[in-house]
Amino acid sequence: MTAVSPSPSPLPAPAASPLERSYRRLLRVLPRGYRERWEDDMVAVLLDTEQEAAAQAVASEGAQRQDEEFELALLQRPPLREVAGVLGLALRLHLAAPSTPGASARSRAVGDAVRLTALLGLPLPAAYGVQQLVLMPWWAEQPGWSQLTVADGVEWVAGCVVALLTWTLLVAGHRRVAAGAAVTGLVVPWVVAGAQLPPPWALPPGELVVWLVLLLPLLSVAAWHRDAPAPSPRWWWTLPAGVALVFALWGLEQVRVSGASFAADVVVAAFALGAGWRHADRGWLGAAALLGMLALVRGVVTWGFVAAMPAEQGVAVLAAMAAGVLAASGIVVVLSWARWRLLARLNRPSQHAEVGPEAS
Amino acid sequence: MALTEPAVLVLTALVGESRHGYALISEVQELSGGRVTLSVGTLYGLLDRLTGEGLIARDREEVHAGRTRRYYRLTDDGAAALAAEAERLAQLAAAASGRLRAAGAV
Repeated sequence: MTAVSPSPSPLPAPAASPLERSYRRLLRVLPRGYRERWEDDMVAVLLDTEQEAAAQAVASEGAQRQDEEFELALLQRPPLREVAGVLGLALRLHLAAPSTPGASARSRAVGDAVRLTALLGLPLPAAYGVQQLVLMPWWAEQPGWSQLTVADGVEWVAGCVVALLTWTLLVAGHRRVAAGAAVTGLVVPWVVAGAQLPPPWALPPGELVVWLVLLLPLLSVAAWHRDAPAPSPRWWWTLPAGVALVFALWGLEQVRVSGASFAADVVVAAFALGAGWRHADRGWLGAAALLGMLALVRGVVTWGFVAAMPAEQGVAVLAAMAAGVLAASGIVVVLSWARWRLLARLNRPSQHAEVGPEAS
Repeated sequence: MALTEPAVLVLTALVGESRHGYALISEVQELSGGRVTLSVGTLYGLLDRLTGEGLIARDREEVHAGRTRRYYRLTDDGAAALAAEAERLAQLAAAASGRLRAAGAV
């Protein structure tokens, strides 16, 4: 083995090339601590790799041509493969798993929170899909049904099926396929709506935020990278629980409580808050905050819809329910966030029990 | 836990010789017959992991063309882990070859 030699005295740094500047900008997506340890190494290796590859590509054209390509490589931008490699690394470090080396306790807690958001947030739209199928004959006879277009139906059912498929693949341990299904779910609205829906980058900022928050469960699948532990088999119970919740709220609506279905998201967020509070676990609390935000955004959208309804009998009850759901969602977000901060100050890490095979 | 293919390739590249990042990427490419080309982000994720697990360690630093190159070496634990993985792969390959021969498929 080679002995460790003392570091040589530093030479004056040459002016950074466009390739180096561009790559250093890209590396800013990595956590600061990680960057401090590895940035200079990574830059040096990238420059070596790109210059050598450029020179070798023209090896048959002589040394002068190789020298030219060697220098020209520094004027390029980092290739897509390198950009993807850094983004993948950033994802694993920011949404870290217990086994991710070099990650901070905070990023591990954030990773747990996001992974739980996928596991808890996807069963609800999946359960709506089941409910849709079961109640289709009944709904088809209700007033207003004929106003729905085929595109509405396709978008709704496709969204539910994608959620069901993604969640099932995730719990079954096929996380790469699950990620593929989630990406499909992200593009489904645009495929179905065609030119009627502007692309995300053309949306006004407010609408973009709403869109991103509503897609949180699908986006959260990104935290199920290869470092993440396999979900406990007990998560299979979440889907029947979601279906039971959806049907229970629908049943309440039929009996006497108009707008009870508005509460589905906040019930799930409150469940996560309860679990996080009881076990003093930042993963569950973070998931409660994210799911609470989802409930809050959906509550705002629902409130806007109800507020625009003509003042007929029953609308007041719907409005009261929408307002109640909004308030409850806000409380869940605030409590989850406050408890998360408190535990962070006490330096209490996420316990990871929720996703491992030993989950209780 | 079984090592991933890129991890096996990096550990193999470090057998008997410490190497810097660029040399590792080149060596891995050569060892895999051009099939595996590690991006810099993937390589450093891997180096960070293998360092954390004690399978490799930082070695010396050298300045080349104005850039600092940091070398890595295989630790004793890394050599043992690689030997165990090589044994496992050899057993698997022998079993597969044996069955194929017995079935007259090769």
